[in-house]
Amino acid sequence: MKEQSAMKLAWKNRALYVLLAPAIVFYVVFCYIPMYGITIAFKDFMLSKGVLASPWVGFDHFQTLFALDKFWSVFYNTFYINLLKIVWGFPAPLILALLLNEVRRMVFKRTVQTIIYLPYFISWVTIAGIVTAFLSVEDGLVNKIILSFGGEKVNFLMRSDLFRPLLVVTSIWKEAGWGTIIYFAAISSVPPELYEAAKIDGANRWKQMLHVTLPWIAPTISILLILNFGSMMTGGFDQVFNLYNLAVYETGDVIDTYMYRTGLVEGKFSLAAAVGLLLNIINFILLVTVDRISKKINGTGIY
Amino acid sequence: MKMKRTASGIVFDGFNYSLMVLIAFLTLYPFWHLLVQSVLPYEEAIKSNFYLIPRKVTFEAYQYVFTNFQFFRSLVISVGVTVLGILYQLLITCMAAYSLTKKNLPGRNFLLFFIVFTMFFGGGLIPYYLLIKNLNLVGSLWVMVLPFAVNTFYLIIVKTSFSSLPVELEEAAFIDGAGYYRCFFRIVLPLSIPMLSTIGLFIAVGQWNNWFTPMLFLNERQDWPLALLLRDILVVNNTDFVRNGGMQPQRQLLSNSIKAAVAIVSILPIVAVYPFIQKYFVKGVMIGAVKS
Repeated sequence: MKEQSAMKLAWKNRALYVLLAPAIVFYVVFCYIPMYGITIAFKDFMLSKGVLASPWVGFDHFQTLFALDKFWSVFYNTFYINLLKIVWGFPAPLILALLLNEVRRMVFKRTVQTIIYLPYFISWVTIAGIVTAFLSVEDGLVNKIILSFGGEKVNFLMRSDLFRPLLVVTSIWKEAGWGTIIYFAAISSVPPELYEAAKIDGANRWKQMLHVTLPWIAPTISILLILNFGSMMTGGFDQVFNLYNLAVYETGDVIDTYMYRTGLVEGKFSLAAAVGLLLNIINFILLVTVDRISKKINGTGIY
Repeated sequence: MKMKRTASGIVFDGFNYSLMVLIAFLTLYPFWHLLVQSVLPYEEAIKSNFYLIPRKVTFEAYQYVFTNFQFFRSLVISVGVTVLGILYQLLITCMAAYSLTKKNLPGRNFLLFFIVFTMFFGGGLIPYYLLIKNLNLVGSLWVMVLPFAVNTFYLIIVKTSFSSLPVELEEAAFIDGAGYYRCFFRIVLPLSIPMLSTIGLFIAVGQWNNWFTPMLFLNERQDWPLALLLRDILVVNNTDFVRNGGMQPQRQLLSNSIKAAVAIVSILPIVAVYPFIQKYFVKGVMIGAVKS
């Protein structure tokens, strides 16, 4: 009886399924079929045979992978670059938002906001082009400045010791401004009474920022921070891929770029799929952990 | 509520405003530099390529770029996949989001799980590549549109926004005999235009800047959108495109000017559209951030 009524309800609301159908087709085709495709990580995949007919090889590809120094090096690079980005890049939008919030002239404030959001919308291709031009050894602005101060030219893009700082600086330039949006949202919810009370207690604006604004937005900060840790092993493909070159692989090659080259340039599909699966599992664990932590701290999960 | 300004307050303000001006300058200067570079005449450019304000201006680089057939083709392709992509993704996303806001959708919880699960786990690059190959989308321009039907993150934002609309409006329409389709197209969509323009902008930027998909799947140069052509010129440093710029020595153009001009053209649509939508997207992002 109950089943019948459920069917009836479904039929009565069939319009809802019609509206949902294209999205479901999308998820099945472009998300779930590739999930099945992961099986090639356990197969000796041959293009001529296809995913289904290629022979199983168990954990062979993983054993190969774990024995490769290169694999561990890209693993380490990914982790380290993301860590550097958190350490240097995470405070940037927070500080920017706090300081910009102290600006009382609305026109000035809005103009600055409009400007600092802009780089977020520009692709890494364009940014890499600009960076390459600015750092060029022949006629780059940065090297001209160095020369005019009596220094020696630096070939920034070929120096493996400078590649990680370059990634950190360029990602701050691109994303710090955009990152302020969420803090502005949080700051705008501070009750004005708190500032009034602080003023009566004799707090100047600096003190108000430190003792009123900052504690009020602390939950937002903590959520964003753990979210950042959740994507610790991903990201940066566009940035790294458009800026790196052979000379900086040692410090700059990350899991995503390594997977791309292994699979699609060298044609080792199965090995690359194994890398992808490992990455997926790690990310899954990270995300679930982060979600749990967020639930503990804030009472709600992220998703 | 004017307050008496203290000495420390004035010093702080002075420091703060200067810092903000500096940051705004550092953000804008690279774009300005590109712009200057693109209009710098040859005789100025060989002397120095850094002018805060160029003394002379020429649009030869733009002339060259816009009369170049490959560039023009790429521009048309980019505009095409962007417009199509917006309509396609927005429609499918909104339809799904609307359906998912309805509590009487049988199996709703399972469907939500089915969708959100893809945010946690996916096939990865290689299976995706093989899928596109098997779907025969390699070499087809549809590969720039079809696989971008839904972005789960946007879907959640749209769903949250739909469910915050007042239910009374829809209830009244239902009583008047309207069905789901009518409600969706006549009530829900028109009421959500600010939010939809925000999401539309994000989709547009994603489509316009997409160089990775064509790099993987479009091997013929003639099919490339602007983003990939730009990458070829700026990052790969392929000189095919700029080489013909300097055929006559007296009218020579520096390849740098042409490069800069292409970059400017690729940035321009974004810069032109986004300040108008900015007031919406701040709100849109907030909804997504607070509720999801």
